[in-house]
Amino acid sequence: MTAERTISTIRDDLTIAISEVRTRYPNARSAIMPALYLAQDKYGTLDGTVYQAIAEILDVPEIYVFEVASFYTLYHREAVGRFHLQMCTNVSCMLLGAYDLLGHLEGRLGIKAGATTDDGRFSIRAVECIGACDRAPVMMVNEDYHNDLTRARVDALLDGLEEIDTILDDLEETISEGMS
Amino acid sequence: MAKFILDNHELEVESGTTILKAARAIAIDIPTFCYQDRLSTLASCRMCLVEVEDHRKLEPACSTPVTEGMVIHTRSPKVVATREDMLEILLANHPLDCPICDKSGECELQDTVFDYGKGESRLHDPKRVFRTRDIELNKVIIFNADRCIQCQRCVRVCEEIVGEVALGTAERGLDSEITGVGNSLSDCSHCGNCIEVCPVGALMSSPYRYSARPWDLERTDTICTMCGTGCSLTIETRDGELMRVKSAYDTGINGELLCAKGRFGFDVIDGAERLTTPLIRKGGILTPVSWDEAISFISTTARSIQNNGGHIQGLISARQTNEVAYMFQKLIRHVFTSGNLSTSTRFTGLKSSQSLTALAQVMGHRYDRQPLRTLLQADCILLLGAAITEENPVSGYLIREILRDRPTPLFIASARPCGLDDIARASFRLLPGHEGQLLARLTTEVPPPDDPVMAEFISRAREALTAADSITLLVGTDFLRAPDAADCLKNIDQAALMLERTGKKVHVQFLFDRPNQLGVWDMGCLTDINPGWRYAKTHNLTPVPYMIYVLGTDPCAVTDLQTACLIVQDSHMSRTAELATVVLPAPSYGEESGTYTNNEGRVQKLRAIRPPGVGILPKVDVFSRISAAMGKTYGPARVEQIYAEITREIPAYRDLDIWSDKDDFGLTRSLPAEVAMTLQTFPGSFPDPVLHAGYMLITGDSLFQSGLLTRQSEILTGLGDGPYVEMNPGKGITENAEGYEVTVSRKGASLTARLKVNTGFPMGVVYIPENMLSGPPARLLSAEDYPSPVEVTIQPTR
Amino acid sequence: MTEQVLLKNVNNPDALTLTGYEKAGGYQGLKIMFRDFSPDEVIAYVKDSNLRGRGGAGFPTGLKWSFVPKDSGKLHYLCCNADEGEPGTFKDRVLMEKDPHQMIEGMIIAAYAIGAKTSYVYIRGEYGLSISRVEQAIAEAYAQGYLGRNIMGTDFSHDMYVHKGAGAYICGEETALLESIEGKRGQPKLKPPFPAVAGLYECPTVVNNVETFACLPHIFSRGVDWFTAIGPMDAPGPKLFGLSGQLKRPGVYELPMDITLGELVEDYGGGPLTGKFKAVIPGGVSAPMIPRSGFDVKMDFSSLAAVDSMLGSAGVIALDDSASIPVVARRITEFFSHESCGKCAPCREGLTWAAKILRRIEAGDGLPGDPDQLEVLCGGIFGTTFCALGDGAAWALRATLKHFRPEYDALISKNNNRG
Ligand SMILES: Cc1cc2nc3c(=O)[nH]c(=O)nc-3n(C[C@H](O)[C@H](O)[C@H](O)COP(=O)(O)O)c2cc1C
Ligand code: SF4
Ligand code: FES
Repeated sequence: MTAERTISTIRDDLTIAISEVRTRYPNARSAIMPALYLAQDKYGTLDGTVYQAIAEILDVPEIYVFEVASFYTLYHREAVGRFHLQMCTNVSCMLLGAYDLLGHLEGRLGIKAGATTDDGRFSIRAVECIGACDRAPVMMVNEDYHNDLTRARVDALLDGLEEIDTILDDLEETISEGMS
Repeated sequence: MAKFILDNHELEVESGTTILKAARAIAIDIPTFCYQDRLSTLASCRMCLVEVEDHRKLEPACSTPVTEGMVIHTRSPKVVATREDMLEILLANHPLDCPICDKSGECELQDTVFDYGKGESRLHDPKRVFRTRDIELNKVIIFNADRCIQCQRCVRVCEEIVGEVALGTAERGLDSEITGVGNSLSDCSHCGNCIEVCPVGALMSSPYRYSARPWDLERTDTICTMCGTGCSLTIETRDGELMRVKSAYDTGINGELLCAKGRFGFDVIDGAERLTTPLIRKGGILTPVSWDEAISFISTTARSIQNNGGHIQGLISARQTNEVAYMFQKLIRHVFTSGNLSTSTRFTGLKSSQSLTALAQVMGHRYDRQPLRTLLQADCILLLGAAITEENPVSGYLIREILRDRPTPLFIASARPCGLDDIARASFRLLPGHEGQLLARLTTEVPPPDDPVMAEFISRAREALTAADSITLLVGTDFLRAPDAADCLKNIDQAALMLERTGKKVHVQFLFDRPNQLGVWDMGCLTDINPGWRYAKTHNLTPVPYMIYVLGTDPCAVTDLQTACLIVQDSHMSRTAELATVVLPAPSYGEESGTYTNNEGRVQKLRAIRPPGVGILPKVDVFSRISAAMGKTYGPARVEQIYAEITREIPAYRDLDIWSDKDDFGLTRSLPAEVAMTLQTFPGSFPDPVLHAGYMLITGDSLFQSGLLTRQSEILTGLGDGPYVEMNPGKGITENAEGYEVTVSRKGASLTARLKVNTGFPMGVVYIPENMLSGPPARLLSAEDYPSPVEVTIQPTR
Repeated sequence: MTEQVLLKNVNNPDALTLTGYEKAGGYQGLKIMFRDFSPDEVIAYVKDSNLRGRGGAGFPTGLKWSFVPKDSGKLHYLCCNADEGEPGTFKDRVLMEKDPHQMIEGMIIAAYAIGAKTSYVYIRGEYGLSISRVEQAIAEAYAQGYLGRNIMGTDFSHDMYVHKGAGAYICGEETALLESIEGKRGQPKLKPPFPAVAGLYECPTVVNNVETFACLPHIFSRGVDWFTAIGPMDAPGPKLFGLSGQLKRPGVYELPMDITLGELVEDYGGGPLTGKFKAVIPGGVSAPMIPRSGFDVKMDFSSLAAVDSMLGSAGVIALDDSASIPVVARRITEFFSHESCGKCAPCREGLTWAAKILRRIEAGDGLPGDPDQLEVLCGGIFGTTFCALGDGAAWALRATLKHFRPEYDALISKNNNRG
């Protein structure tokens, strides 16, 4: 997740991958969605420079890229934390206590749903049904589903994540030391 | 055909006709927001829902085709109730700030609520406030998000007609918001058509905002003065002061569409310094004099020139009306007895009598005087030598619009890339002056060129030409600057003939950059070519004219005039006026009525929005007084009378009585060839169009400028990022175009401006907008060569 | 217990691989089809099977395919609707995660029938595991010659790709799904022309649901007679029901459609979590809820339609006594207003307004006229919107008012007493 993104670094990073997904479709515009995912996987978030670079690589009007990026909720136009906690609050989960768990999460992390902790570690989002209603209440942490949640399980989950977080920090430190 | 019943009327329509069209045809009103005839059908506002018997749900009239036996109700209780509900829901969030909204009084939402809404709302919760401030999308377009009803007309006009794809929609659901990239439209073509199509006060014109109430405005229907497309527009004034320019949906070639120049450029009439009184150079200084003194000075001088065997030249701008042009040539021909008349000094290729005769042949007889919309119905369209989307933007919109629904093969060969390249079957960069040669290659058997791109273009275009029964050739006028304009004209004629001989219909029309180029020429403002393209014996023009009479143009901004006596009649101070012997103040655009003939050959009325200032005489009155002073009788003085004489004298205009009619326009007639075409071979040779080893300079109008005129427009001058040189600098710089400037020089003249990178340009070609080529830089264009060889250096901006 | 056909492999991890799937009888249907059927015969056979779409509308699958023109001169496309966004629905995820080849085999059959050269599987972006399993299975199918050029030695060639959704429920609507594959905002397209005539890239296109495709191999391997013998005449074949909410045994159940709602939630769902059932949403939140008095309704398309509800996605959400109907209605309406694409005015504006009123009621600030305002909004939205999202939303909300108006009134008068 670098701050220094320019059109030409993005081109260097993504042109090959985007050109590959482009071949799956009869026109370039169709490759906008996969291209945005490729950029998001690489940089974590999307911004104007990314839209411009994708527009140039695919040779489509830039507004097309932005329109798509802003229509779909899985594209992150704002930074999300290392752990993106997406709590389903739709009917099945709600009936089984999703709001209570959301409140619990908010209390423990000291932020409201929609926000990210100051240290950039956790984001909480209340989301619509994520298709695991038989195991409600459910929450996704990044890509992974966590089912049949209770307060206790949420606590355990967060403890686990905090541990992983420390490990990741150490790892990053080692890597950056190794590089310097 | 389908028979059906609509509100108890038994009707029959072509199958496929929508309920809305059928209803409107018999004046049954069905409210709509998202629908607009010109745009693709969206059917999203749901205002037009009507009841069709035996259908489970109400149907949108705008998109539901009538079918045999349908029984439709547009005012049943269910329909009425639904409309009320729909408006109630739409108004729930809509800010009711009508008292301060620009659109109030001409707002479609307001009108529809008035006609179809219920008195009060049952929904009382607080309204959503989206944004507390309006967003300046660019210097002329400002957006109020709260008022937007998401009809998407703006987005569609921008993409489908203008071809800009600058506007789009961000977010979704109730958060949906119209916007440009990065919440800005700073890079768009600023045409403002999005403002025009907005049914509510969401998109607004910044120059007009908060300046007037529509019901206080006086409206004058007239014609745009920026280019030969000849758009109809309405100038709205309050107490004689210009407030805004609009265009009505059902008028003119353009039907509401305008470009930036047309919509925002009319402040030219109040720009620059106005001339208010006649001036005569006394002791080297231009000194105010009376009209009598000025007239008698001119007549005395003219008489003595005639007595001494000298001659007088007339120079007129292609922005003058037919009536003024007609009377002007009479003044030069009959009063001053000279054959030396010209329009548009920029067309240096028209200097020889050979090119003038070729021009007369093409313009007088080959030229197709038909609506562009009709010509665009052809099976194949060739667009040659035209930067149409910059010089004739609205003609470009029409092409895009028509090709959207009828995908006709379009081939583009021009030096500058243009906004239609994306919908062309093939496009190819061709230097001005080579258009005729290309046509020759397309219509005779010549060996293919070495250049693979050109070869490919030719083979694809030939294929399409062969398959087509009708062909339209739209030709820009840039080639008239080139020295071999005569050959080019002949080639155009010859190629058209060759195609006709294979049984095809061929239509040729030019894309003039000036609003009345065709008209002024039709009127005979050309050396040796009398009104109606009648060729007459050559006068001996080689000697320097003793007097040059310049009407409404500024030749000295671009060239030196050699004469003993320079007369300038113009509305504004100019470089030429500064150098003049006599200056005559004239009414400006909008202060005199008359007619223009657009590129289609359509004669259209130009109406005055205000009288000329005190002491300023109508141009024709001045001619008439000069003529009287020289003891000659002169023709009529009133516009209607002059026009009547034109319809008697010029065959193409015969019986086209537009002044007494309620119509504002009429189409002139194409005339059969007078000179039988006998040419069997194409003139000129077919060298591969190898580029000059160095750089070649081309010019022409840009998106925001029309010749030198628009330099007087404060609004237009503020658009874009100021002066520029456009080119493809090649790899390296292309990647990072910011921060470079270009110096273009030739024989001591030079110009430096910001580099505008356009990778669509052929390497080695530089473009400088015509408005920048005045004063010393004008000498970058050579009189002998066009495109002009120049030296170019690119350097980081200091 | 009923024979498990669609779910046969859920407990057979081997079926994730192509060989495992083949071992369990996979790709037999496809082979039989290639051996014995021309494309037109495939369509006729599927028509005979009376298979109805499992995505929501229950449209006869064979009939839909037959609308694809024979000689359009254009490419034909096939799309699999795996967007599964309808709250309460998770059956397609199970099919993709546990048995991806079953769906792919069905897709190849459909592609052959309509002459599609390319297909896209539109999977919602959240379903990471489904995406990777389906992509893996597609790769294997290519390697084995079930996809790509000259499939199994025939002159039929076909390419299949996954298109990953990005969080927009509306993209489950088939024309919005097509727009989304075209790289646009997911907004429904004007119909007609219907996708079968002008769909993806303006070419003839068929969109079917994952479960619909999953049924196809079995129709060919076991025959039409076998298929039509399952369940009611006008809705034959195995069907997946997703049970969730306030019942004891949530999960995906495969049953014929002549089961009643009551049997489903009591016998299979294990009864209410607490007290008694209050109501059940029978087919995802767009389907109007049915109060307990209506539990004897059969879970097929026409029986549910007759009681002013629908089978929809067969995502069955149970509400017991402890559920507050106005709160459920608020949550449903908020969902739809959040997911409204924004194209048409009544849905975009009306649903948001309804959600605003419902939030106010829940917060204790309800006013006596509120239920009537909600009725006004439902009236303005139902039957007027561009696509079925708005309809479904208004229909679902209206059902709560129709069956449980006293609950609203009680909540509102509590506020009036308070104030
Ligand atoms: C708002 C909306 C959302 C929908 N979501 C889905 C969905 O997630 N999955 C699905 O298969 N069908 C969904 N549908 C139904 C599809 O439009 C379409 O009918 C279906 O994919 C056709 O497949 P089938 O014939 O196999 O049922 C939805 C429809 C609407 C109106
Ligand atoms: S009902 Fe209208 S706004 Fe709602 S999702 Fe459908 S098209 Fe979009
Ligand atoms: S005009 Fe028909 S839906 Fe808008």
